[in-house]
Amino acid sequence: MNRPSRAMSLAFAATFAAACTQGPDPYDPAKMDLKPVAAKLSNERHKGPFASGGAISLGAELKALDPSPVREVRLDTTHKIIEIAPGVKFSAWTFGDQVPGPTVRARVGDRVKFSMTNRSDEPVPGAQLTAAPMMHSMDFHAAMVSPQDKYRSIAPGQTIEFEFTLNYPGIFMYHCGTPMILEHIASGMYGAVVVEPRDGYPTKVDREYVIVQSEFYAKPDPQKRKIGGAPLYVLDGERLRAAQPTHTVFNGTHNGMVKKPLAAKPGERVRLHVLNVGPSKTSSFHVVGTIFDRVWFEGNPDNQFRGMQTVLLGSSNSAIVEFMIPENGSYIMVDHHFSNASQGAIGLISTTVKAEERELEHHNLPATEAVPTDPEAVAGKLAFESKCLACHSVGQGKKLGPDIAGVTKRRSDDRLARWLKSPEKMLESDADAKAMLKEYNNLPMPNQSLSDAEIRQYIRYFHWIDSQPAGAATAKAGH
Amino acid sequence: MRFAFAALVLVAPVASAMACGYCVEDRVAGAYDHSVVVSSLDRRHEVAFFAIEGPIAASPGVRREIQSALESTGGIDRGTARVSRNGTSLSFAYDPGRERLGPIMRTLEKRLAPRGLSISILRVVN
Repeated sequence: MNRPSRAMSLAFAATFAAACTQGPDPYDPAKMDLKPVAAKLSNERHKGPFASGGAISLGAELKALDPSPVREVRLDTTHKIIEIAPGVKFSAWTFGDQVPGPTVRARVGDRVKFSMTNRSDEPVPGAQLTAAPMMHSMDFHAAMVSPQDKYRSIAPGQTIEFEFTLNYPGIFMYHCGTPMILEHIASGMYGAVVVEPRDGYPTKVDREYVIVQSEFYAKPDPQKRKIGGAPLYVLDGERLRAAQPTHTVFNGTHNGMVKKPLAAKPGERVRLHVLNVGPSKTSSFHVVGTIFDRVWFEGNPDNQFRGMQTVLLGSSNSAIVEFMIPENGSYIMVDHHFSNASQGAIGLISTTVKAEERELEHHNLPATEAVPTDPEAVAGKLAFESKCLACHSVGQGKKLGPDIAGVTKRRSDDRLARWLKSPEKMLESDADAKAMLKEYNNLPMPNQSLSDAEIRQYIRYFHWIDSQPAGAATAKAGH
Repeated sequence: MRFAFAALVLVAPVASAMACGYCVEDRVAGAYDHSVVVSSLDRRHEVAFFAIEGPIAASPGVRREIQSALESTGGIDRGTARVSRNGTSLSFAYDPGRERLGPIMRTLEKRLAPRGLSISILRVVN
């Protein structure tokens, strides 16, 4: 046999062998369950828990798969105040009374029986500042159904029930689809459905977590209303339409999983189910200190990449990433679009987390640390925690630079402003600045290119620190 | 909650095509104000929702013009007119004991016609 015909024979044999070993198409439409059952709308108000069902997980830790083939899931809509960053109490709209909404876990072939009562008109204990009641709806990306029947908007007090079968594996977004959709998503109405392949995933892991990235567009309430002494924040429509978020976060809180890291041990294999909700920004998801052994784009093992450093996720895109924890340490989950990371899209997977700390994790619990109430000081605190804590502490002594506690007593506002604006200029001529440079091992303070407004926010924050009882004000690293 | 959404969908000529602001429920949701619905039903008034058809722009100026046409139409309860943010639907409350919906609708159509706009009823809540 000459070479070309031998090569052709080999190619034919390979194709034939592949055809013989290939099983039935798992996505054969003929085998999918597309039997429609009409949605049921009623005026019966559910009064029990806002979220229920054996398939839901409330936090980052994903519960094991419930073996029942029928998943009864209830996610009621509410309006409530959540804390998206220390001191930033935001008027949110929710599924299941939390942001993000609970994660639903099931597998291909399972039937989901969903019910939802619009409870946006129910008073929130202790807070009368939530948004006015309005219509809401539910749009499950995991379902193949008529939107006009299942995803219709319902009024406060109404209940909708519908069911569907999960036909594709993946991590799917759910969200409110009521106009203006952008506002409903940006106000907190989203969550994830994790659908396992019918026969499970091809790998075994030690830990599974859900990471939902999203943006908030917050501004101080124009009516200057307060909640618990802190200013209320409401949706900033202009920023929303311009896609200029004030906070970009994992699992609903700025730097939330820095303060309460996820647990893992050296040698363990971790699976993260990552969903970028958006609504308008892309995520370049990365974990510092490891490499993604496998990436299943959209959470489907048929869409596999190996050995990846980041995974790029547009709005509503998702991925499963799996990796090893090589040794003791804190592995940093980050959106490698660092402007997003600087707004709070950072979290840790740490080998030093104690079990009891993990059990305490619950999103949107009010922060117990002392925080400023002045919006400018709050902005200064967030910026300081993102940009400055590598070199400065608050009340914990010198680091690479001076302790910030007491700085407004040591320096005038004017001097602080000049220093923050252009440290290199002051170092040219100011004797105190030169002495400080010498004291701190000739490490100059970098120019952060701060605007006048940002400088004012920093100084307001520094004044707030110095107005607190000694040791009360602290700051925690953003990354 | 005392009120119930009436099952009364009078006419729905609007294409129920997409779930992104153009199906009936989404258009109703766009012009829905819960406080108007609750207070109107308390007084035994009704709330009507209409689709707006025509070369409409969702600019604040056009919405203001529609709002102004609504507020100057007899039979519509003062302060209850709403135009959706995307300019594709409107709603208002009225007292069915004093005025029937048909005449209100015809007056409103005349006022919107010069702008190339027409309306079609989506739902009446009573």
